[in-house]
Amino acid sequence: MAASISRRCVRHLSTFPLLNARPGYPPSLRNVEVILPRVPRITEGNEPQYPPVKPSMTSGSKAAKQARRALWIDNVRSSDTPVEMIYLLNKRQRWQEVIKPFSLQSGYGHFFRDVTKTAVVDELPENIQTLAESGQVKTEVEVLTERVIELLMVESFSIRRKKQHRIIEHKERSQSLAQNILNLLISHLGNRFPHLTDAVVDGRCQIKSFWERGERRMQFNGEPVCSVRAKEPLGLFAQTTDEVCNGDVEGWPYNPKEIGIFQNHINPVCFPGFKYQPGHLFPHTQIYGVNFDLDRAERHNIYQEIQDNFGLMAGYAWINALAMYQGYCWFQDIPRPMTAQVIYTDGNRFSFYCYQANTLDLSENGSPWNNVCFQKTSLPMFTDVKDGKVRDFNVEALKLLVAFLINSPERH
Amino acid sequence: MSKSGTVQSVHIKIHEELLDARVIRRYARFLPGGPQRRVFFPDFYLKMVKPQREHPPNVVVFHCPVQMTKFDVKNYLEKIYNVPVERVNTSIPFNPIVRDHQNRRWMPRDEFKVAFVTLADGQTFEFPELFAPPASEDDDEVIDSLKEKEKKETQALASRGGLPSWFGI
Repeated sequence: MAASISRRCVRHLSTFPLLNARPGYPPSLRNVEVILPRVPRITEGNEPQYPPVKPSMTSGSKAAKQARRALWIDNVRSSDTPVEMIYLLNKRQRWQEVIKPFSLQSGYGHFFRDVTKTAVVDELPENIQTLAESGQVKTEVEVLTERVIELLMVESFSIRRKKQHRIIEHKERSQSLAQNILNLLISHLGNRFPHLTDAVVDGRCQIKSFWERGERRMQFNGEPVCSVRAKEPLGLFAQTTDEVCNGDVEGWPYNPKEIGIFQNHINPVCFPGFKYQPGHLFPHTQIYGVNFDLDRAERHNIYQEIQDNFGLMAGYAWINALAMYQGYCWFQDIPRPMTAQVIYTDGNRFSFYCYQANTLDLSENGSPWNNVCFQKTSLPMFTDVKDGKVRDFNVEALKLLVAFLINSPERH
Repeated sequence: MSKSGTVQSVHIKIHEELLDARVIRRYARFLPGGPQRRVFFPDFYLKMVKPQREHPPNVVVFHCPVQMTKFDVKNYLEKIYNVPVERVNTSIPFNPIVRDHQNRRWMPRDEFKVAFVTLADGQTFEFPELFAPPASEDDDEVIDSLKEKEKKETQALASRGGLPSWFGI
C-alpha cells in the first residue's frame, strides 16, 4: 500500500524517465529520485582537487577582458626584441592624445606635468652649473665667442633668405641658427672630447613617441633641429633618494580639449629619429627651434609658459622613445634612470632643460619615483644685430651650451 | 565693433514681426566707404550657469542667444563687467523641431548657445552652491532622527496591539 502510494507520488513529481528506472536496479530503488552527495566546502586543509576555473579568452565578460589584457602584458614583457615589443604595443588602434612640445592655449603646463609625472625645478642641476663655471669651459668659450659672433653676423647679413610669411621666417631663422651653432660647437669641441665624435648626430629627424598614463594614451610628435645620441648614458642629475624624485605630481582631471589637445584613432608610432638598429640608444643633447606662431604666443602672453614646459615634454618623449628601442616601456620599467639634455631657441633667447626620467611606469601604484626637469629658461644670447655688430652678447648662454655638449658619461 | 549686429528697423513686415519676435536680425555687411551701422540696445543677454562637467578653474559657462558670436561675448564681458577674457568657445545644443497635427514646424523649447569663457590674467571662478546639499544616507544624525521617528510611530501602535488608530472610535 505504502509502496504503491510512494510510487504514485514519485510519478507525479517528474514526467521524465528517472535516472535509475532501468532493469537491473532493485525494485525498491526504482522510480526514486537520487539525491547526489553535496560538494564539500573548501576549508583550510581541504584544497580543491581540480584546477581553478579560468575565464574564457573569447567571451565579452569583465574577467575575460582582464585575462586577455594580462596575457598581452605578459607577451610584451617576454618579447625577444624591442621591435616585437613595440609591435605588440602599437598593433591595436586606440584613441590617443596628440601632443606637441607646446600648445597655444594657456594652462596646459599642468596637463604636461601630470601626463609625464614630472616635477619642475627652476634651476639647472649642480653638476651642470659647476661645469659651466669650470676652467675647461672658460678656455673653450674664449675661443668660441669670436666664432659664434661671426656666425650670428653671417646668419643676419650674409645668408640670402627668400621673403616669406613672418611665421615661416621666424621658424627658419631660429632653426638655421640652432643647426649652425650646434654644428660649430660639435666640430670645434670634437677634438678634445671624443664622446662627441663617437656620438651620432641626427639632422631634422622627427621624434615620435607614445606612452600610457592611466586610461589615457599619449602620442608625441616633435620636430627637433638636431639630436645627438650616444653609446653610453649620461650621468644622473639627481639621486633617486632625493626629495625631488619622491614627490607628488598634481593631477589634471579635465578634458585635454580645454587646452587645445585633441585625439586621433590610429596606430601609435615610436620613432626616435631612426629605424631600429642597436648601437647609439642613449640621449645626449637635442635642440629645437620655433615651430609655431611666435607673435601670437607673445600677444596672448603664453610664450613664457611655452618656454617653461617645452623641455619637460620633449625630454620625456625622447627618453621614452629610446627606452622603447632598448626594450623598456610602461609595463617593463627602466632599471636605472635615464637622462637627456634639451635646448630650445627662438633665434635669440635660449632655454636649457636637463630631464631625468626615473620611471616610465606612470600608473598610480607603479613606481614611487617621479620624473624631474631642471630648467633655465629665456636666456638671451644677444639683444640685436645692427650696424654690422652684435649687441650685448651674453657669454652665460654660450657657457651653458658648451657645458651641455661637454657633459659626458665619463664625468660621472 | 561687434561682428554680428542687430537693427531696430521700422519697416518690419507684419508676419515676420510675429514669427521673429525673439530673433535678433542681422544688418547689411559693412564695406569700406559705406555707412557705419550702429547697434543700440541689442537683445543680448548672458546667463551664467552651473557647468555640467568639470572644467579647469578659469573657465566659466554662460548661456546666450544663438545670434551672439564669440567676439560679442568677449566684448560684453570686458566692456560691461570689466572681466578679462582670454578666449571663448561656443556650442549650440541640439534643439529638436516638432511638427504639430497640421504638419507645421515649431520648436517647443527656446534655443540658446553655450559659451565657455576662459578667463585671463590667472583669474579663477567657482560656481557657488545655491542650494543645501541633500542629506546623505550615511549621515549618522539623519539615521538617528529617522530611528526616533520610527520609534514614536510604532509606540502608538504597540499600545493598541498593532492596530492603526483609524480602526477605533
